[in-house]
Amino acid sequence: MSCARASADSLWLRGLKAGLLIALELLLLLARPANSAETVRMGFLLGARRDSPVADVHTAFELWAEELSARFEVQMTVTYFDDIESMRQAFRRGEINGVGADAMLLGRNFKEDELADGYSVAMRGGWNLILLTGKESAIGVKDLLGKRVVLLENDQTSIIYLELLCHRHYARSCNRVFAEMQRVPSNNQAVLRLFFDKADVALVYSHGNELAKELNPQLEKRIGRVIGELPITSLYYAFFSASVSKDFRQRILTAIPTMHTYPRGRQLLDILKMDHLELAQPSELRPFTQMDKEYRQLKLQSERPKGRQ
Amino acid sequence: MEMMSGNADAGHSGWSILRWLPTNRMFLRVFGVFGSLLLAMTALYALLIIPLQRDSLLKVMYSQAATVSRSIIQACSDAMLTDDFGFVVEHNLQVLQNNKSVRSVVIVPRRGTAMRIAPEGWVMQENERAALPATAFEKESYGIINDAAGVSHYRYTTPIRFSGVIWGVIRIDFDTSEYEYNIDEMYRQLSYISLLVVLAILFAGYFFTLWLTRPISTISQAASRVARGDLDAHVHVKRNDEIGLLSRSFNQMVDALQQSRDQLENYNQELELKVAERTRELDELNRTLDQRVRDEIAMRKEQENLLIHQSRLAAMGEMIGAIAHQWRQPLNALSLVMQNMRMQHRMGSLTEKSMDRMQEKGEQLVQRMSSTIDEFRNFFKPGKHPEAFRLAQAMRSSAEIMEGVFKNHGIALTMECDETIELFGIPGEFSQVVLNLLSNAKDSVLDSGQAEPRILVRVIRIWDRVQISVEDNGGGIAPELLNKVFEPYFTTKDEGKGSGIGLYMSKMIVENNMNGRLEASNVRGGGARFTINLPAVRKSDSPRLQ
Ligand SMILES: Nc1ncnc2c1ncn2[C@@H]1O[C@H](COP(=O)(O)OP(=O)(O)OP(=O)(O)O)[C@@H](O)[C@H]1O
Ligand SMILES: [Mg+2]
Repeated sequence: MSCARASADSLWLRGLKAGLLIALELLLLLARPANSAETVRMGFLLGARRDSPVADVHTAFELWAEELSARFEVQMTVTYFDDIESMRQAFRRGEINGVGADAMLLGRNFKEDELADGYSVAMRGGWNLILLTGKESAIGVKDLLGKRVVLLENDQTSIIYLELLCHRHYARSCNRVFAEMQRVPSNNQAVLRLFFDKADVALVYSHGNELAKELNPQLEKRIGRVIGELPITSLYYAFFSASVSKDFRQRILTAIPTMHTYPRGRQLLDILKMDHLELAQPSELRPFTQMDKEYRQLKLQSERPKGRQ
Repeated sequence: MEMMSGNADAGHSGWSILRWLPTNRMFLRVFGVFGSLLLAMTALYALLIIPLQRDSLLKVMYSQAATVSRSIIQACSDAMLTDDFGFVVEHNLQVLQNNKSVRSVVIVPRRGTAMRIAPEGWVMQENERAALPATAFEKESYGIINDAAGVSHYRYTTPIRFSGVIWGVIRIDFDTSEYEYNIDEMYRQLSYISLLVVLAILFAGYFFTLWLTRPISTISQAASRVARGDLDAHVHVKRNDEIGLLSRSFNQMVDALQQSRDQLENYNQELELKVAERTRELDELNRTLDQRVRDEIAMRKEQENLLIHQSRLAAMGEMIGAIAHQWRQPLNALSLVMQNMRMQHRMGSLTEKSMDRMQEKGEQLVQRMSSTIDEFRNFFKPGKHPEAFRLAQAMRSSAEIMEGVFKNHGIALTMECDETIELFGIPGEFSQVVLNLLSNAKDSVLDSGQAEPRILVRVIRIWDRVQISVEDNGGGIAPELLNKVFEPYFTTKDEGKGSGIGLYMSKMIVENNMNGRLEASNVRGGGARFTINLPAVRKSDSPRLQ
């Protein structure tokens, strides 16, 4: 679609990136009195795209960070990575002692014991990935064949979940199950396409669905039946390296959930359109890794008969 | 500029300025005119600028609205053509998020349900279609409207057109707060300007007006001083404009005034001297005038005397006539005595005894004639000094003179007189008056040819006044001549018979010399009556006549 570019960088992606930065600033701020010898060296996966709003956010936060480091005498370095592989290598070499990226990539590339506690981007309405259909429609998870589906573009989690479902119930890839696969840049748009009968099912995150219903209560009457759900707490995480001392981590992380309670933090969260940050454990990455594993197995199984044909 | 010394107390401090302000009407007027002119100009400026500004702000709003709507239509053209309303809604939600001045977007497709998208959410709303203006599918419309809640929006409605086909209508409501802010700003600026103007009026106007009016008020004060007579009042305004000129001319005027007053004073003094001189001359003149009057009076007197003399001459003629009348009878008797003597002698009967009797008789007659002359001479003896005299005597002597004439003409004279009445004056003059009246009466009765000519003289005493009237039956005086008979030389008689002086003289004697009155009137039955009214001499006044 020609207008897809208009809202290319999705809200939550931007939120993630900026949120990580804010967290970093806070870490620096709080770490100062504890141990001036320890420094924060954060690695940050910027993702495939570098849109100007993100660059603006960077600049703004870097300036803010500078001001903070000058005031609290904390050393901080931020490294941006374009791909997860180089970030993983830097982490292994100890060049960075913290990593931030989306859950799927973190799950795939880092072992759970390499990482210590951290935080996640939380949204009102939750991060559960849900497969929605019209209230009146009789479509179930087994009736997807030949239907039109709408899902977020560039979202690994959504694609893998959908593929998992297809392989699970139809033993074949999505594009052979659905008559049409529409990719849209936002949850809301996905919900709207369902509402306007442009799609039969929509795969969206629950907070996006909630928001769409908030924007137009008429939606509630016609759509909202959930026929499939992946329960996850967030899509974006940042974790310290397990090598960082527990004291230092704890001191910094206790301040994280209070960020939305003071004006400056509230202001930043508002700019980034995030609700708040929550403490997170590396174990929260498990649904992703498990889903990924199951998908790979099913894919292998489904390819084998195909290969035989 | 420099202020005059007479106004030195004004304008040295703010308080004295304030004190000075309200009393000066010229200041207030000039100040008022100046101020209201500036205010009017400001108001005019505001009146011109407000609509212009409002217009340009609305144009800005319009171009913003047109741009937003064009960008929405452009971005959503594919979605609209494929009825992808989800995209349309999503896009507009983002437009609303990025453009805070857009309040709401309403999209009404030709087919399908209308959508209303606002920052807080969106809704499918079929009644939006009905709310559109009738021409919404044909042409754009815009303007500021107030919604049901009383909030004002800039509403822009335009048809959505794809290659000439109308797909639907987009209606965008914009926040007018910026517009309102700009308008408010404009009003604020205008009020600042007005405030500045007021301040300018207060300051510049005050000083300008002061500069303009103060020398004038100074001059006017000086002028009122001049009016009170203080010619030392000078104005010291050194300026190179009309006011400076005015003050210079004022000073010149005051100087000229001073000069002319000095001149006037000199002139006055001169005049006083001249007046004194003239007064002296006048006094002189008065004195000589007195003399002249006296001379004049004397001259009059002389003339009068001359007249009296003339009348006396006339009376003498009368007298000769009267003597002739008196003498006729004794002369006849004397001639009879003479004839008797001659006859007796011829006849020889003349005896000593008859001779003596005839001589005695002749001497008697001559004696009588001689006494007549004495009598007449006495009458005409001019008396010089006024004295008390008996009225009856004076009247009798006049009547005796006329006796002969009256007897000859058969005129009956009746005289009633109180013997005791005395008058004060010159007896000769008074007798002459009576003689005149009797003579006139005689002329009148003779002229009229009266069969029984009659003259009545009556004397009546009323208290201390005496009234003597001479009445005749000679036909009287023509009424129109009653006033004229006393004029000198007025006469109706033939040449040689009358001179016209008699009555004039008589009036002069009675009224001027005897303090009485002489009047003429006519009596019933045809006749004239002349009345002399005189003060009587009381018995106590003239004891010597007792
Ligand atoms: N008793 C009278 N009856 C009628 N007319 C009279 C009488 N007495 C005077 N007059 C008129 O008044 C005139 C003026 O009188 P006046 O004695 O002054 O002058 P005169 O008798 O005419 O002349 P003379 O000077 O000789 O007396 C007379 O001419 C006569 O016309
Ligand atoms: Mg006469």
